[in-house]
Amino acid sequence: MPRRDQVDTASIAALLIITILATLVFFLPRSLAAVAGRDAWLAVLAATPAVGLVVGAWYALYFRPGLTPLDRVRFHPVARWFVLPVLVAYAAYHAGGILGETILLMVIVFQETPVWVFHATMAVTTWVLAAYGRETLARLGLMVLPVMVVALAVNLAILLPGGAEWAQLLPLLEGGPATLLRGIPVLVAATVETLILTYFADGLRARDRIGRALVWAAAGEIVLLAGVAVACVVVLGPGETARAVAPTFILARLARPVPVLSRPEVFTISAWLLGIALKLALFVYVAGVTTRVTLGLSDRWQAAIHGAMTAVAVAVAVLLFPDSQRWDWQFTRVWPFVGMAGLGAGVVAGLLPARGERKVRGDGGWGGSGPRSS
Amino acid sequence: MGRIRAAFLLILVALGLAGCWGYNEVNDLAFVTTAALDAGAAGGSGEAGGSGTAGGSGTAYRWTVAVPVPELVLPASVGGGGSAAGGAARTNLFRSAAGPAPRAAAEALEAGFPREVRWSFADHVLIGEEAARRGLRPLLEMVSRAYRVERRASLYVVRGQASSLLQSLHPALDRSLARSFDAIGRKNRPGTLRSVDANTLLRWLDTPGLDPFLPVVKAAEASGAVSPSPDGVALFRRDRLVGFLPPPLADGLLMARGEAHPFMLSVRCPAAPGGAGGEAAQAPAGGRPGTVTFRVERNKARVRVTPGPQAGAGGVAPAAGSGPGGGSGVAGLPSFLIEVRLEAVLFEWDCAARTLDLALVEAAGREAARQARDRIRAALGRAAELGVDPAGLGTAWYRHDPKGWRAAAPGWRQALRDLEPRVRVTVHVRGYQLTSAAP
Repeated sequence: MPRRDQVDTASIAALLIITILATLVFFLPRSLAAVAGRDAWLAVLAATPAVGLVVGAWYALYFRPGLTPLDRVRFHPVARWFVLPVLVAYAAYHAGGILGETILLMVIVFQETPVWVFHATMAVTTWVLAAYGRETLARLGLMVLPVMVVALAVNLAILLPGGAEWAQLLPLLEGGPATLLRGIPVLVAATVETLILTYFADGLRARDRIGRALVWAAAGEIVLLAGVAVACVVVLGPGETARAVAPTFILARLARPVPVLSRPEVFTISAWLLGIALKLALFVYVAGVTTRVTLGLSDRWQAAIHGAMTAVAVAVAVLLFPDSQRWDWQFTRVWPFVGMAGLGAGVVAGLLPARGERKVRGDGGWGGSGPRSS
Repeated sequence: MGRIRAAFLLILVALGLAGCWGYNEVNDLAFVTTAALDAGAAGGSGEAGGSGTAGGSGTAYRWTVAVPVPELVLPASVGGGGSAAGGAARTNLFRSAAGPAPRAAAEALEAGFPREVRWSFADHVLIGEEAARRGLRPLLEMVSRAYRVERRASLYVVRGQASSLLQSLHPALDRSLARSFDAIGRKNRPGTLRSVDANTLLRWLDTPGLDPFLPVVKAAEASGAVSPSPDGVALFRRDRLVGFLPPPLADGLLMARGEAHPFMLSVRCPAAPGGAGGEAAQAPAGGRPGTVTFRVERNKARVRVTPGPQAGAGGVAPAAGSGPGGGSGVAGLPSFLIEVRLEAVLFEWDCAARTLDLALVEAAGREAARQARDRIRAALGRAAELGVDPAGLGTAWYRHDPKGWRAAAPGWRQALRDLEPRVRVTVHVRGYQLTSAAP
């Protein structure tokens, strides 16, 4: 009987891009323009080695042997009580952050809709996706990524010919090469978010091609992010990019090809909303699975725990990301440190030897809470 | 059962995420297509239909909006009953309201409007002279912060009150106001203006060494219809209006920026090669002064910055060879050369020499280049008198030498007045169109 929670390398690669870009594509140009000005796109390129290092670390620590962080930590007598809670907090914080920043934009667009409606609908979507398990998430990633990328590309194709002032990219390196290095922590914190994909490591049928897929995904992430940063600078200018809460969101609104198709940003934002929901579900999935293992509960509790972690994500969103100013504070001052905590936990867990029995029976592994084939 | 449950949930979620939380009938909405912003006492007087809820002596800004009315006969609920009561002028309903800031004025307008106001369709925003002189930041604050007036809305300056102009417009054939403004902003058509949207203005304000400009519109009356018409450009020092360039000079500025829309350029007939020369010799029969008219269809421009003569440590000597056609002529500044390339077609040939040849056309082209150069210099001279740099000479310097620019930036406006950038114009006559000789 084939396992229902197996994933393939293409899904992992797609999810890697979605994980980084689904929400961060809206906000990262702002952070990068704040530290590197009109060289924001160069800061993305300059961070390529750091991005490669993080992705390479996850490959070396998890994907090559095919063990998840839970495999490494679960049976360790000490690390179990230190690393697992960090991983839960890391995933729950990110889930709440994603929810908070998404709703931050939604309430601007739909001013009259009550906030709780967005929380409720996003929570239901998240819980359904997370509860159906990682194979559902992986397959959805393969479907959603092309839609997201095409929507973005069409949006830029409409906008750039008439709305770009390419000279805004000049002069290059006005602040010197050292300026670019200031973008590296931002990109590292963003890339560390792919830690959640290490939870798919034991679901891979074959690991021989995952290395190449990760390289392509990391390269795709760099290209997309640098391209969006370029578009923000040439259309909005570096100062406006740094000033805007979500510069890519403003780009999406600016594109208008003809009067009859007056609001193409609806398509763009809807497409990216799919990816955001997927990314949110990934974090809730990781938080839920880690929580269940930490508490030593059996697999049948998983759906309920995913529901509980969804509620936690809503609570984090409501408490930590309730408005623009607190989102801004979290995003610029807390999120990078949470990212580094995730980096630490991921590396520590990866360096631990796998002890005890590896869970490979046909119950879906760590993430096998979804429907079983009969 | 599982699939049914999943399908139900997905539909529920899709409905929720799409924001389907209510509905609005079209007739319950007010789509603002064109809006006018005025400031000060001028903006607070003489407005028809103003709510006045946020007005009073402290009023700073006043919005007047044009809302297309789909019904031929306005119901009483939307205030129909003639323009005297602030009602309708054929297909548009005008309303206005005041407030201490543009956003507050917009709120006041919505409060007094019996429909739900949708600002995001306001593609054209007219700014009164007083509001422009006070500075555009309050308007840009509204545009950039809220999800209402969009960043891509085109901005125009009106000499005097913007609301008066807006309410005076009555395009021929009851064409919509918004489409009338669309028509004067089309790129490849003669007689149109270089439109500037709010996003571009924000980007320019963020660009070192560049002062923004906006197109100026006026009301042009013909055969009983009143339509918007280009009337030069308004020059800004940062976000504050400081002066105007009338239409011929506006073309000069736009040529210097490489952004001129198609326009006509008439020059005297060139002297016949090897002939006696002179205007009389080239005049057509009847003693009329002969002219050649070109239609300039495309233009490109580039500002070249070359370092001036260097002095000893800590300073830069005055540029040698300065003056008209020379360098900057200002101590510490580099030399600026504006290279403009115009592509034109021969539009009309009304000269004694009826058969065209390469030499004649090239001679006429050189005369056109000279005239274009004079127009560019006049435009830059007027801008320099006002201490503004809409051509972006400072930006070119900044991009060429950021450190040098930053050092000179504090004194840049004063230096502009004495700056004499060289202007080199070349005209490439692309053809005679369909005939090589006048009939």
